[in-house]
Amino acid sequence: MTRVFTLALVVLALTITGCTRVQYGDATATETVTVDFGSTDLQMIATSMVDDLMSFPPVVQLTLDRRPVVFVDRVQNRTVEHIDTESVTDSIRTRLIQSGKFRFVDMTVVDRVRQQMDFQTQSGMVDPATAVSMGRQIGAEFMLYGALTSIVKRDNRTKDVYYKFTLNMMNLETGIIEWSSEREIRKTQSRSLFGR
Amino acid sequence: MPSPVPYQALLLLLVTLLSGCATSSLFNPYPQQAAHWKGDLSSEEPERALRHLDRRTRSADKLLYLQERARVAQIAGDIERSQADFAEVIALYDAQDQQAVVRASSAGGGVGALMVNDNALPYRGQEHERIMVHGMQALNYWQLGDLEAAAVEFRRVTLEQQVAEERRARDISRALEDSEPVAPPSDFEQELAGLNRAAADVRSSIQNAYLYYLAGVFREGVGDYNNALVDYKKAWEVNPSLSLLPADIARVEARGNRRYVTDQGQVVIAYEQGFIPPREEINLPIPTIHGYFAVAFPTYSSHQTPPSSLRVTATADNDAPIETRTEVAAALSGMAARALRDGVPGMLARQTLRATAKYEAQKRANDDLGLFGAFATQIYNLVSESADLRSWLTLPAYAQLGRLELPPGDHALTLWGTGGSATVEIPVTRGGITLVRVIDTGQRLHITVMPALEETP
Repeated sequence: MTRVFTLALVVLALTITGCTRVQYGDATATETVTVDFGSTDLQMIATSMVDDLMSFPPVVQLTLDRRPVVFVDRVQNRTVEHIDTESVTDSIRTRLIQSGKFRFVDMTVVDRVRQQMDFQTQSGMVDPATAVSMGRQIGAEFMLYGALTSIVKRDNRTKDVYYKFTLNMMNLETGIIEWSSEREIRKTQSRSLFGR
Repeated sequence: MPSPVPYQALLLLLVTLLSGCATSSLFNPYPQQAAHWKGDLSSEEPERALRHLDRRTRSADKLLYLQERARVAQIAGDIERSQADFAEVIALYDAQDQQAVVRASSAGGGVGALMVNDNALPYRGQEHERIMVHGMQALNYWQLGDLEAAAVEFRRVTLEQQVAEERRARDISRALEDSEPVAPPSDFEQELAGLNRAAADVRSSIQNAYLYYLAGVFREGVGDYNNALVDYKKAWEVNPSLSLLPADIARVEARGNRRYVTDQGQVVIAYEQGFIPPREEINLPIPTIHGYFAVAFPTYSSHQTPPSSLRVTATADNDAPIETRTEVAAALSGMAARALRDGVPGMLARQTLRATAKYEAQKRANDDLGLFGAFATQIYNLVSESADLRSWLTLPAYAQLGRLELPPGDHALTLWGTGGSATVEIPVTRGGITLVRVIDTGQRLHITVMPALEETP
């Protein structure tokens, strides 16, 4: 009887203590939990796009003695997953700014900027000498835009996903696409025969 | 060594108790549970239905109850909640795809299913339900104005139908190779006659013309004419009797070639009528020398309510009223019957295994447990055998479609359905598409006017 009781206690203790464990990991480590779009894909795309852009001869020429102003339009999500494509373009933009070759304007905060400017010029609470003046922002010269598409094949045992990320840089004045690049990713997952 | 009598009685009790807590549909037939929230949906306070489901979504049949709650929330107009629930359902289905083929954790349910009935197996969903989940989720996103997410779900609808079709084709060819029965065997022909009749109306349990059509409407609305054309053609292939489609195909073809000029706007009426009928049970006691054994399996009644269309009239400011009637795009009740019929061979195989297990138990009970034990086992064998009646029951029985062309401006649309009549104000834009979704519970109409889509070439 005592033995049964002890055994039950041990089992109980094991279940309670075996619950959760938190640990820090490497943010750039390869993540292969599922074939769905993940952090590794995002980083691969961002790095390869930026490397490609920075080493493209006309772009090297262009950024030799000036830092062109660019704005990021959007990357269309044409996959079968809900992917935050803005996060991909954010990474690309951050890397490009870090390189010191480009400058960016951000279209997503225009409303809030306008609000602040209105406050500075119209509320009467801000010293006019320190208020920013209207109409002095710099217009973007280039636009970055693209699309993320996928092809998914699935049967009972395997799931195969192919992603293609395309990014273009257009000269807004001439309408010429100055640079374009694509990155392909292919992942396959098989179900195991035995498991939990 | 302990005497076998209490030991075995204990084992039997344990099996019953263990599997009894695994799921709530084991001894309480699912259609009876569903009657609660379906009744609430038709009442003055549809939100009450959600409370019935909240507790159940934590059971082993989580997938099933979440599907119900997502749809209930959608009908009650709580779109954010419906969207969150459908997202969870989709995650559950995706997780199923990645599960190992043979799993240790499912063995318990398997033992329960062998000694009790199929309700002991956790509900894994059905293919036509999974496809509807993505379709319903697409409409949620559309209604919330997140068109990119809606486009993702409409792509999922196409993908899931394709995957399910391929799997079905592969299963059939493998069964033919192994000369296994593809159609239900003739042993229960009489009992399955109703099911066969109910399933005869539809050509496939997977291909859903309603969702293809809505995907076409969506893509036409956002200016993606190539894919809209594919969707309309797919819908026509699945349901050639849908009389709207030839005009739609011609229009989208013209739009794609930039040859289409119009000063009218399109109004599409999506009418989801009634509730899918619940499965019914056939229970046959089979006498043997060791006592009675029950064989129970689910079926659909052949007496299904025929569809009834929604009558729609639009009155512009000074013109004569324009009238149309919706027509059936997808008979979901027939699709459910067809899906069940496709599953009959597997179900009968499990039934045979279970009958053997229960027969052995009875034989042992007769020999070892004395008169009372044998009697109790007999009662258990008869009572425990109940059919798996679980299915997503808040789906509409019939999904119907109608279309009107109206001049731009605001219009009053009057709708007459089985659940009553109503008038809604709708905006019509030149060259744009307005989708009016009407869910008819039989007692009332729940009407949603989707954000109008305008051409963005």
